[in-house]
Order: sequence, then structure tokens, then C-alpha cells
Amino acid sequence: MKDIYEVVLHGRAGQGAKTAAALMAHAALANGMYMQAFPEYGAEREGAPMRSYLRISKREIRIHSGVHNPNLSVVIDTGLIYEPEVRHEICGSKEILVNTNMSPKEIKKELNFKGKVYVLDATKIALEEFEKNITNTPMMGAMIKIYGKIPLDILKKEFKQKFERKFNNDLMKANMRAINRGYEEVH
Amino acid sequence: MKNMKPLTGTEAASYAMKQINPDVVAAYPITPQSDIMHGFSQYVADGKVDTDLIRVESEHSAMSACVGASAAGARVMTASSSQGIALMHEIIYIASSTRLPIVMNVVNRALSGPINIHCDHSDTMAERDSGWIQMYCETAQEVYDLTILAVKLSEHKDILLPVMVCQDGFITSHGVEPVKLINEKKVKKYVANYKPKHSLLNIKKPITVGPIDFYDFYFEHKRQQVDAMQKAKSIYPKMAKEFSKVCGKNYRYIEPYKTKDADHVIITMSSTAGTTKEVIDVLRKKGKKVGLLKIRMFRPFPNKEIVKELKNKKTIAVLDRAASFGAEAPLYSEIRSSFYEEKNKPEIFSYVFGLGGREINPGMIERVYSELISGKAKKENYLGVRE
Repeated sequence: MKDIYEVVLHGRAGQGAKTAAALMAHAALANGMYMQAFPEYGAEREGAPMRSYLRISKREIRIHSGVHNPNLSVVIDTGLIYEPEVRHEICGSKEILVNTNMSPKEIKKELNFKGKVYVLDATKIALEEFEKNITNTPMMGAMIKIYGKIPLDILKKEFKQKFERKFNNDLMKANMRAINRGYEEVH
Repeated sequence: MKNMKPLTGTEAASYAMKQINPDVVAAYPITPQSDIMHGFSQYVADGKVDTDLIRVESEHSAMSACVGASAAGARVMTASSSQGIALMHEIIYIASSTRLPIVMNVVNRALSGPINIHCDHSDTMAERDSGWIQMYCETAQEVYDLTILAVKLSEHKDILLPVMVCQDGFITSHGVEPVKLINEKKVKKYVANYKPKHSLLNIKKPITVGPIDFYDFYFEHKRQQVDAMQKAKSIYPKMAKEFSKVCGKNYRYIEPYKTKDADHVIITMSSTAGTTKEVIDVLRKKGKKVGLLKIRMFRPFPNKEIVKELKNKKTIAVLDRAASFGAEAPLYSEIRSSFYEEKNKPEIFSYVFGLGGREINPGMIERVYSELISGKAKKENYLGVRE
């Protein structure tokens, strides 16, 4: 499916991998593209490894199975790169984005991965911006940068729409800063 | 893309319910259905609908409340999954036997045991002889459109049967997809006000609902139910055509995809049909004459239409997301039976797949086609199982 951009997000239940994929899909649709996002649940318990899938395309997406060998693997929880199953899976993708304070070179070496590696210290950003280790927001900013076909403002607008009833003004501003920083600081 | 909204399958169902604004909804939460009622109860709380939402203590009570409200003459909807449907079973049968036009959104989930929350069709296949009309949806779009259509279908004066609108658990229910919404005024105009033929609350014309019915009349009532299903089958195409003016798409009982010149065809239902379409496009580029027939309506079963569409094919693989222990898988059995009278019939093979949410991916579907083409398919196959 060369005409579909595919992403797998690896996180732990409760870290927002499902929301991140869904919001990216909302942004893609708002940008006039077809999309699909869905989570894969194991046992429903907080902290359990889980993944969510994202597909974006100019044409209608009819496939309804999980994503394998995606264009981009996103690791929201740093520790998951040491899980054998996750490790094996992410190494089958074209590019990898990891939330880590290590350098791309170190991650490449750690995973013995030949493709392109992006890193973002999303934990640091999250702790600085809203004092909680909720890293999906900066990771979304980074994904927008890497994908490159959706303007960041569209994501921010979708984010605001989704959370305007839930977040107070300060928290919303902090999230906007986190998204911006994810976009700027990914390398 | 302008009028499209990003919705999950459950959101599509609850949004359709909001636009329909039923008189009574009674439901009990169960994964993965809960999001439908989560969404709908928000509409109730926000005053977007004036539905009486009855929160009950079990699915048995949910369907009982639906039966009572529907007998009273209300437009009634509910939603459930898996064990919830199993617990409802007694009243599901009573709802259809009492000819009550209740619409239930079902999020298909494997039946216990062992316990499992993921998708297969064992829950609704266990209700296939319950006298409910059953529609199976490929996408969130179909869930949305068919929920609206189902209301009119069930309430048709010559049908008066309850309808299940089924979607695949998690795959469709929790997946975000673009959904084209119909203007709310248009939906309201289409579903219009429900005028029940009989109502418990009409004191000018008193009726009894659910009396004892022995060997003197029970059989006649069952015969009428059989007849009502036949009527649903003959009336549906006209209704679907009429609805196409509202939603822009004609939802036939079946949906053929590149079958015209195909030699080898897969028959399946729900979200797997979409994955199969993608595989067909890839194989067509390699010159393989393959196609798909998606079954949208399982009850009443469109046997003649299926035969008409596929009688000249070489082989057919029927992909069932449910098993029937000690007999052929449900859809396979229906397809085989449909072709029984035909002189020149395709060779038909059974593939059971995806039980308990086991993945079905393009590679597996490609394998089915290659087994059909090479003649290596066994009569009964289990796709993706460790043996």
C-alpha cells in the first residue's frame, strides 16, 4: 500500500497513544485527506504495553487490519524499546521516532537499526510544561514535523476543539507550547 | 471531504441515534458497545434529544424495557455486545415474536468462554434464528447510514420486525474514520414521526400483548413471522433506493466488488470486506481475475440475489467470522444451500477466520485467493489458526 502513509504508536495504556493517533487522524481529515486511526487493546489495564495505528492517504482507506512494517514507528514510552516484541516490530519500519534523551546515533546502535531515527525528549518537555509525564502531546508535534504534509496549526486547532471542555486556559496553553516544542525540538 | 467528520463506529451509531431522537432508549454498558451509550447519554444530558433514557441493571432488563416501551407505541433503540446479547436472548426472541420494531446497534464481540473482548460474529450468529433482521457494516459510514435506514425498515407496516445493525468490535467501533453526515432536518424528515399500528396506551382500541398462545394459535403466529421476513426481503430494495436519495448511496443486500469478470470470489461480511477490496486491487494489477461479494443483510438472507451474481464463477471462498460446532460455519452453510438448485455451480470452500479478534490481514486474504486459483483449497479451512 505505497499510497498510504502508515504509523504505529507504541505506548503504555493511559499514556495517550490512542488519543495521539486519533488527533493526528482528525488533523489529516481537516487537511482534506482520508485517514483511519484505531487502537489495539490487550488486557485493559493501565500501564500495559499497547499500540495504536494511523493511516493517512489521498484516497479512500478500506483496509481494516493492523499495520505492519509502517513508514514510521513512534515509541511514546522509552522503556518499550527494550521489550523484545516491540523492538522486533519497530525495526521493521522505515523510520523510528523515540521519546528519549539519547541521541539518534545511540538509539540506532541500541536497536541495530539501519533506517532513519528521530528522537525527542518528550518526557522533559512534558515535565517542564505541565509537570506531568504525559508525553503524547509533544510527540504529536514531532509526528507533524516528520510527516510534513499537515500544517501544525491544523493539529493545534483540532487539539483545542477536542479538549476545550476538559482543559482550563493555562493547561491548554501549556499543551500548545508542548506541541510547538515537539515540532521544533525533534531531531 | 468537506462534510466529513472524524468518527469512530460507536460515535457514528450514537450520532445517528441523536438525529433520530428515539422516544425511549434502555441499555446496559458492555465493552466494546459502551461508547455508543456513553455518547448518546451525553446527548441526553446536554438536552440535544428528549429521549427517556432508562438505565437498567442488566441487558435482560434493557431488552425487557425496550419491549415494554415499544409495545406502548414508542420508537425504541438500544445497543449491546457479546454476553449482553446472550443475556438478552430470551427477550430478543420475545421482541421479534411480538413484532416490535426495536433497533439495536450491535458491536460484535466474541462470546465467552474463555472470556474475550475482541471481535468475532459469534454473538449475533447465535441470534440468527431469533427473528431479527440483521445487517452487517463494513465501515463507520455504513453504521451511521444503516442505523437511520433500520428505523424505517423495522417500522414498515408490512414488516414490523426488530433490526440489529452490526459493526466489528474495536476494528470499526474504536477506529476513527471519515463519515459523511446527513443534515439533521433531512434525517428527521426521513424517519418522520412513528405512528404505531397497535399501542398499549391507546385506550380507544384496547389490545393485549404477550398472552398465552398454545397449539391453537402459536404456529400461525410463527408462520406470520416467517412471512414478515419474506416481506422484509421484498420491500427492502425499494426502501434502500428511497434512502439513497437521502444518504447518496444505494445500500443493496449485497455489494459486489469487481465480480463481473471474476473467476474466483470471496464472500464475507463487515470490516474484512474492506481489506479484501484492497487485496483485489493488488491482485488485479497482476492479472488475477478475483472479486468480492459482501453480504450486508444476513437476515433475511438474499440467496437468489447471491446466486444471480455468482453462478458463473469458478470458485467461491466463504469467510466466516464464527464457527458452528458440529456443522458448517453459518455463512458458508447459507451460501452452499443457496446454490443447491443450480446445475452449474461454483466450487465453494469454507474459511473460518478471526475468532476472538485474531488478525485477518491482506497476506492471509491473498493466500485464500491463491488457494482458490491453484486448486489447493481444502473444503473447510481455518485461516490464521495454529494447528
